[in-house]
Formats: sequence, structure tokens, C-alpha cells
Amino acid sequence: MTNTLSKKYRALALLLGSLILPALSAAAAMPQAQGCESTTVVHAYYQISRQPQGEPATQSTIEVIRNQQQVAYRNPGLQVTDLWEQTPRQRLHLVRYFDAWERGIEYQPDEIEGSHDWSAKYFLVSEQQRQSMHSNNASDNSCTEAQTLVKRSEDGNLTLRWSQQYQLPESISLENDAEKTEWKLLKVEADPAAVANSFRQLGQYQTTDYTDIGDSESDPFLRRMINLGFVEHGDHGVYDADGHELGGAHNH
Amino acid sequence: MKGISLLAAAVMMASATFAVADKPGKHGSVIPDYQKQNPYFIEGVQEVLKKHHGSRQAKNVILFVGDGMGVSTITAARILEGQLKGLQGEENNLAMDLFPYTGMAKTYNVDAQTPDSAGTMTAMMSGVKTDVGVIGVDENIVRGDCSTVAGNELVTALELAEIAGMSTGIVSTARITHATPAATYAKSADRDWEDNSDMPPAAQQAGCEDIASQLVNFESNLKARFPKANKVDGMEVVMGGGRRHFLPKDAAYNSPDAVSSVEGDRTDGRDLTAEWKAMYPKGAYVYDRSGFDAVNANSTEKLFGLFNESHMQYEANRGNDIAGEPSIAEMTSKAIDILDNNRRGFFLMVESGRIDHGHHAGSAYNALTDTVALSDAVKAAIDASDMKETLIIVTADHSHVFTIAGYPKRGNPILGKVVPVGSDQPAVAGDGLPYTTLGYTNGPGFRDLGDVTDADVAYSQPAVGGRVDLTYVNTESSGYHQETLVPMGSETHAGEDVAVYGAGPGAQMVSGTNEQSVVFHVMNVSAGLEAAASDAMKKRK
Repeated sequence: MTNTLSKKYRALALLLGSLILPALSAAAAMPQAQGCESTTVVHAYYQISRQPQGEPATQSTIEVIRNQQQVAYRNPGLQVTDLWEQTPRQRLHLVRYFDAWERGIEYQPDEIEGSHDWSAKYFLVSEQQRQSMHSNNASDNSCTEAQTLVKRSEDGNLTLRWSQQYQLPESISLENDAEKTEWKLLKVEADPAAVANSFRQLGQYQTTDYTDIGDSESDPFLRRMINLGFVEHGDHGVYDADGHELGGAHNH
Repeated sequence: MKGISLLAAAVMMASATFAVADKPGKHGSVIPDYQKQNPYFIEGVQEVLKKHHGSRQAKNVILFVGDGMGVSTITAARILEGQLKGLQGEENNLAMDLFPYTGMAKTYNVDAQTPDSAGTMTAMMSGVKTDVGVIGVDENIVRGDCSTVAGNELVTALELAEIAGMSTGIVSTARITHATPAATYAKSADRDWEDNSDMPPAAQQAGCEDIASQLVNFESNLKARFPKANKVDGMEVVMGGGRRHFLPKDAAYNSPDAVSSVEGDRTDGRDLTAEWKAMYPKGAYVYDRSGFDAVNANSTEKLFGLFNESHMQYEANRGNDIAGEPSIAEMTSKAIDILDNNRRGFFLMVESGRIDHGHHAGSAYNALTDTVALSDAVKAAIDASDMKETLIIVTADHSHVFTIAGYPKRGNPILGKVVPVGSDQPAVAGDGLPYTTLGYTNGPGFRDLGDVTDADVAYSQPAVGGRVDLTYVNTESSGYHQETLVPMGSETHAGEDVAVYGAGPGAQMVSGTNEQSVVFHVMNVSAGLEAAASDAMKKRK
């Protein structure tokens, strides 16, 4: 089932930037309109809508919490938060937190398949992807207005409204014959203290290497992991309306 | 006292009539009475004394533990190594296959039919079986309750050797704070208390010490428990993974070899590597291949190597480590070269910790290649030792649900599909599909990860139970993970006996089917550890 879903969203994942890129060092490497000041330390709330052809649309929410070095994707419905970091060796490091248990499962960089493109994690859409898209409005250099970028390919029509101010998508839309998926930014909170508190709270959760769960059958939380496993992690932070990561397809 | 068998109870009663508690050392002061009166301890003493026959005493002891290295793992690894050498494979011998004595060990924990490494290694190191998940304490512990540690601590073979003035060392490819190595030096109500951040606040407030801290403070803690033990000078060799448990949770303390943005996990601000260096200014702390290579074994008094933030690499993936890691054979050789500078002899424990992890991930390839690497380490130990005065034991703590099945013809690739005798084509099962010789009863199941050499990549995909069409799959590739019957997030341990191989003075005592705790008694009697420790406490330095 999950593999099927992964294949289904492979095209969107690729469009959104799960391509192998030279790594970037957080916000400093991002191109901005000249003279614009941006705020990357944010807590952003997205609504995601997905409508397969001929079916009713489903909706969910994702929160993106970001400081200078880390980005967390919180799925309130699943009570799961994926915390991504870029390692000193330009690889991705993932801790998946289970908020209800106040526990985390840690993946080492070598255990993460696919792209290790930090920009795709930190900005939701990779820099390479945005550079491959065409601008569609006249005020691209405005600091306050969103930049509209479009791309049409055999995978579908992709439209991105890019916030210069927050270095985040205001909206993402992908439409093809199979389905229509939209991300819409509902609100942004730019409170560094609140963001720091969110990461501090995650940092207090006990973490375990996935490698070690097999030796931890006496722990109720880890026993659940041993017996059931859990939703796979992908190589992109973008979720579909059902809470599945859109970038779940693995590229070898 | 829970979990005592009728047999053990009978042995306990019998012991009262001939003061077994005072044997084998007859000095009786180093090992506490509650340990010596434990039924498993009493039974173990009796078992080894039946086979002792006044054997020549060992000066040195080396214990190899293949974590999760069940009998099927040894057989399959033997065949794989042989086939890699161009042989048919089945006739090949791993280094331990050539040992003169072999026995079987019952692995259950006091409270668990299928055991874990904490309980099993505690048994091997102390002569006393205990509960699952606890380190260096007896079954009267309540797991996770710090207050129950005091009064239930068990003296280990490594501690006896240290008190006796022998050189001591531990080597592991897992984190050096992981259950197996920890059971040689630590006392903990929970195997997971690897650093202070892993401990509940109540345990910290009650004064329990995390495992990494116990490692660095091993010398002072042992002196505190045995004030008359004036030859205690700390372990000479400590090598493995697990740097995260020794460093503060602050990027400023990251090693050049760090893979996480913040390598350390400690929230108490302590840098245990710095504390170790302050304690042993003539010692060498190393964290990568070049540092390891630079260590002069003849002149180095103490060596502390932490080669990875977490576990060290699988042997098959070691070449991908950026800063480089030594192999288990290289660590063993270096350890012996340092330890054998002591005329009183040495005690060394070497664990191949990642055999277990390969199996948990459902990767026979990683489990078997790490087993072959352990065999290489055993060979290195034999080459570096005088076997007239060195007892070497090779065993496992437990097994895994790993099988060698079907009717493949002689020389059939052990990682391959079953090709029957007289055929060149894979056999097909009742579902019309080919199947592999190796498989798992439970676990993550089928993966086709190509040339990936890190089994843990498998965890990024959900479990796949049951059959997959393998017709066009190269099951001999490093990234192939075997099918499983029961889909689980992680493959599990198994409960059958494990093999115990012995060579050197006293090795005949491993023979027969014994409780796993007998391993301690074989080492204790062969090297006279308890007696030497008791003698040392009576002498001035």
C-alpha cells in the first residue's frame, strides 16, 4: 500500500526538488531580491488539499517549524514530527518524534536513502527546482509580494507562490490528469523565542536509534516499533493530505 | 527469589553441605556472599570443577562475544567465507571451528525465555543469571528502579582481573556503553541509561550513575567498592563506538568525525573524554583511523578509542566511513599488544556487536560478513597470543530467528536461491516462485537495495511479510534482505542454545550443555581470577 502511494507521488516529489544537489548552508545561500530582509526563523501552518481525479478532496494540516539550522515538519493528525538537520558533512540527519509518547527514533545519515538536498528540506522546494521555474508576475523584485513561479511538464502543471519575506511557499499547486494537490500557507508566526521553545521541547524527548529498537523489547514504545514498525520516512518533507510524505519515493 | 529451577534449588541445598561458596578461590572475600550463594553461581562452580582436573592455569583470558551469533549464523558465515575463498564453502572452517573444545549454553534470562544481551552478558561476566535489560546486577533488581541497584551488584570477571593487577580491556564494534560491553564494567538498573540524558530524573536524583560515566570512573568506583584493592589502575584498553554518550550536547564539543549537527547527548555539560584524558595524561584518546594507526602499542599505557558517534560501521560498510575506522581484528591485535605488557597477564573482552544489528534489519549479508570479521579477530588473537598460557572463549549471547533451509546442492551460493542437487535452475516452491536458502521467521522482510552495504537502510521501508517474486532479483547482492514469515519492524532474537568454543588452559570446561553463566566460572577457575584478586587485596602495592 505504502509503496504504491510512494510511486504515485514520485512525480510530485521530483518536481518539488528531491533531486541530488550540491548542499547549501541554510538561509545564507538563498538568492533574494536585492535589499530584501527575510525572516527564516518561523512557525508556519499549511493546509494541504488533495483531490484524486473523480474523488472528493481531502484536507489536512502540516506545521513547519524552522530555526537557522533545523527544520521540523509536524503532522498534528498523526502526532508525528520529523526533525531534519544538515550534518557537518552535508548529509541529512532525521529524528522522528512521536509527540504522544514524547519519544523519538533517530536515523543516521547513512540510513537515509535518496537526495540529501538540504534546500529541499529547509525551504520545502529545492533551490534547483525554483531556478528551473519561470516567473509569472511583474513585481518579482518586490520584497513583500509573493513571487509566482510556474513549470509545465509531462508530470503536470506546477505553480509556486514564493514568499521572499519568509523564504517559504505561500502556496504550491500541482495539477495533472491523476489528481490535484495544493499547499496553502495559513499563517506564519515569526517569534524566535517560541520557535526555540518548540525545538527545546523536542530535544527533551528520549531518542533511540532505529538500529537499537530490536534490543529493546521491554520498552512499550519500542516494542510497538518492533511489532508494527511505522509509516516510512521519505526523502522530502512535504506531506499529502493523508499524512503521507509526498517524497516517499526512493531514488537509487 | 523468582525464576529458580528445581534443579538449582537442589544444588543450593547441596551446597550447604560442602561450602561451595568458598570455592574456587577459597579466599571468599572479593565476591560477595549473595553472589556466591546464588543458585546459578553454585551450579556453575560445581559444573566446572567436575571438568577442571587440575588443568594448567591461564595467565591471560580473551572472551569473544558475537552478539546474536547463533549456530545457523556461524554455519552460514563459514560457508560464505569459504565461497569467498573460492571453495565450495561447506568444508571451510572459521577460526573458532578449529578450537579443541565446544559446548552449548542455555541463554534464557531469569525472567525471559528469549533473552537480551544485558541479561546474558551479565551471566557470562558474573556467573549469575539475571533479568532481561539490566546490567551487572542480580535478579533482585527492579528494572528502571535506581534504588534497587545497591546491594545487588555483581562482581565481574573483568573486575576480578583488575583487582588482581592484571591488565584489562574491552573492544566492541557497538557503542562501548551498549549492553554487552557495559556488563563487563557497569551496574545499571536499565541497559538504556547510557548517558545522563537517558535516565529518568528520579534515577539521577537518587544518585545512580549513567553507564558512560561509570566507564570513565571505573577505576575510582572499583576502588571505592574495594578499598584494599591497591593494584586497581583502570582499564588499559577501551575501544568501540558511542562518542555521543561521552560528550556534552553542544556543537562546540563535536569531533571532526561528527555526523550529527550536535554529536553529544549529555545534558550535564560533562566532557567525559576530557575527564579521561585528565585522569590518564599518558593515555591516548583517539577517534579515527589515523589516530588509531598512530598509537604505539609498546609505549602506550592506556588507549581510549571512540570511533563513531553511535555504533561503529558494519564491516561491509567500513570503507564508507569518512574518517575511517579500524577493523575488529585490528582493534583486537592492538589491544593485545598493549595488554600483554603486564607480567601478571590480562583480561580482554571483544564483542562483534553488529552481527545482531544485521539480523535485526533482516540482512544476512551484513550479519555474516561481520561474523567473518569476528573470525578474523579470533585468528588475530591466536596469532598474537601464547596459547599455552591464554584461554580464548568464543561464544554468543543469544541467537536470531535465522534459518538455513531447503535442499540446495553442495557449493550453492549461501546467499543465493536454492538450486537442487543435479540442477542448474532454482527450485520453485508451491507458489511457483524461487526461494533463498537463508531466511527469517520474522522481521522487516524482503528488500532489494542493490549494492547498499548498510543494513539499517532497510528501516526506511515498511515491513514486507511473506513471499516476493525473486526470479529477477540478485539475492547475493549486499543490499538484499531475506524474506520473512511474520512482518515486524525489527527481526527478533531467538531462544535456542548458543555454541561455546574454547582453546587454551582450562578450555575443556566449556564442554557439555551448560547454563550460560558457566562461562564466568570457566574463566574464573582457569585463570584463578578470584584467588588472585583476593591475594592482591592482602598485599601492599
